[in-house]
Amino acid sequence: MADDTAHDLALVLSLAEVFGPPIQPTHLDEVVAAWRLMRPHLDRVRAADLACTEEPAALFRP
Amino acid sequence: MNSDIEGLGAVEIATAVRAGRLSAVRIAGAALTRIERLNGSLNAFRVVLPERVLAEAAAVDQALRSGVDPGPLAGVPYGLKDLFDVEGLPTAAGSKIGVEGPPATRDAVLAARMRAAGAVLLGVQVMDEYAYGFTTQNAHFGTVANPHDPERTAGGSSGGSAAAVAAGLGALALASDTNGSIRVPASFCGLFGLKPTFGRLPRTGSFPFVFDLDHLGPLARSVGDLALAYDALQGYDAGDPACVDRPAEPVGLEFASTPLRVGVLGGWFHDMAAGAARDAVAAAAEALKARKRAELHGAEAVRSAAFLITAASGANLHRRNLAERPQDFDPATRGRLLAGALLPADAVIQAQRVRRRVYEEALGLFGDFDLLLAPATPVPAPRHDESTIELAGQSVATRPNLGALTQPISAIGLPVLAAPMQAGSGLPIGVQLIAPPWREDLAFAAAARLEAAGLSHSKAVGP
Repeated sequence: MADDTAHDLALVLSLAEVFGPPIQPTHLDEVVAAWRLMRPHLDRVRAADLACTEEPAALFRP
Repeated sequence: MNSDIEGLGAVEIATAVRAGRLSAVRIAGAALTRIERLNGSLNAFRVVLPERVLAEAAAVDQALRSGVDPGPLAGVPYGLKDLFDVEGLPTAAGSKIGVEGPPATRDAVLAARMRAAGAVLLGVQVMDEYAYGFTTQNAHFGTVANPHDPERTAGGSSGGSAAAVAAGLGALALASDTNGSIRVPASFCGLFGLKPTFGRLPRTGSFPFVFDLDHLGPLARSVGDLALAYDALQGYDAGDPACVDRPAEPVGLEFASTPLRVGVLGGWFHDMAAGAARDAVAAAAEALKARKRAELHGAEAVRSAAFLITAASGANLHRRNLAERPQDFDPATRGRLLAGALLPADAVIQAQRVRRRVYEEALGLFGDFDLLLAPATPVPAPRHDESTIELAGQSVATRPNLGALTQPISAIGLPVLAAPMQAGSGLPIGVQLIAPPWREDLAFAAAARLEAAGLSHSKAVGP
């Protein structure tokens, strides 16, 4: 479990470095906890059996 | 002195005021007195507007004296979730950052429609910061107590609005629902709540959360009150790009009595519901003669899609403040928004694809059913400090799972009415009446049957 946390911490820091906004050291625990909560949803959505040619729902409304 | 009028609903108030049996000023004064008595313990209102209340009520009475019909909501006191623009007030959206912002220069479109219909605005109501939560435990403005049991959550993110209506601090409230923020607090506080079809009600002048998922709608203590508010709110407005240009379709106060083919959603909606929620659905199913089960196989996936779209869109919306003044966010919100900024675009596009697929699956179900029935929340209102709940034989975190049954429905934009039932514990718990797009009338018809059967009811609680 400690290894998982260390892994997630490293992942979050590396992603934040590229995509930002910067994460204050005092807020890191919150972000790692949120990332861990989000990760199963990310995996589930990516695993959805959908053709990439299927039209997504979209924000643009002509 | 006011005990005879404090618990009146919107239909009763408007009928009495229009007939000249009650003055709007007296109703308004009673509402202000009740707020003064109860808001300290509930923390439902962030701001109360006594001068505006009395001015609007006096205008209603003056209109009547002049022979002008003040509208279908004449003299009905109501509140707004703290994300609607109110002229002269900063739109805080539950945030420290927002409350330090400039005042709104005009009312939100739906607030203006309420005023035009004769309703009287009491004030703005406490919510989770930026609507990102299901418990209304706000680091800046405090925790909202559930009027049925102050040790329990009122739900969120429209917790202040639901607590106010449940406690009789106004007859109605307007709120928002992105992932369940009308239906979850309606369930916990024993109210009727409507999340209309996506695009039905304009969001012009309300602070956004997730452009693609945000809905606005009313909370009330009866089906008639909910319908009266909903009909006053309908109509196109070009200020909201998502608002669909179609005529208002009033549901009125006489609901259809034709047979409804109601399917009970199984699978995810059964597995993620504890005993009290399943019992509520069974009782509603019996009353609605719903014998068949329906399966929305994509429910779990589309809930995950909503989860990702919410985090990514919220992060995008608040990106500048997250970078420049992160210390001013509620810690409960900040971590999720910052994590949302790290999501890959690929996942968000795929999440939008999931929405489209599951929407089409749901439309297929409406070939066999007029309406779908599901629990609104997995459990009745948890205690404020209850960090885990038992679901499907497992102990799971409370806060992220309170919207597990509402998220799949808002993610695909279907109209849904939350109707209050009673759990064995004596606490309320809601069921969702889910209709095809643009058929809110069917959900109202079913809710009216539950109400007429004595199963679904609500009244103002508290001293």
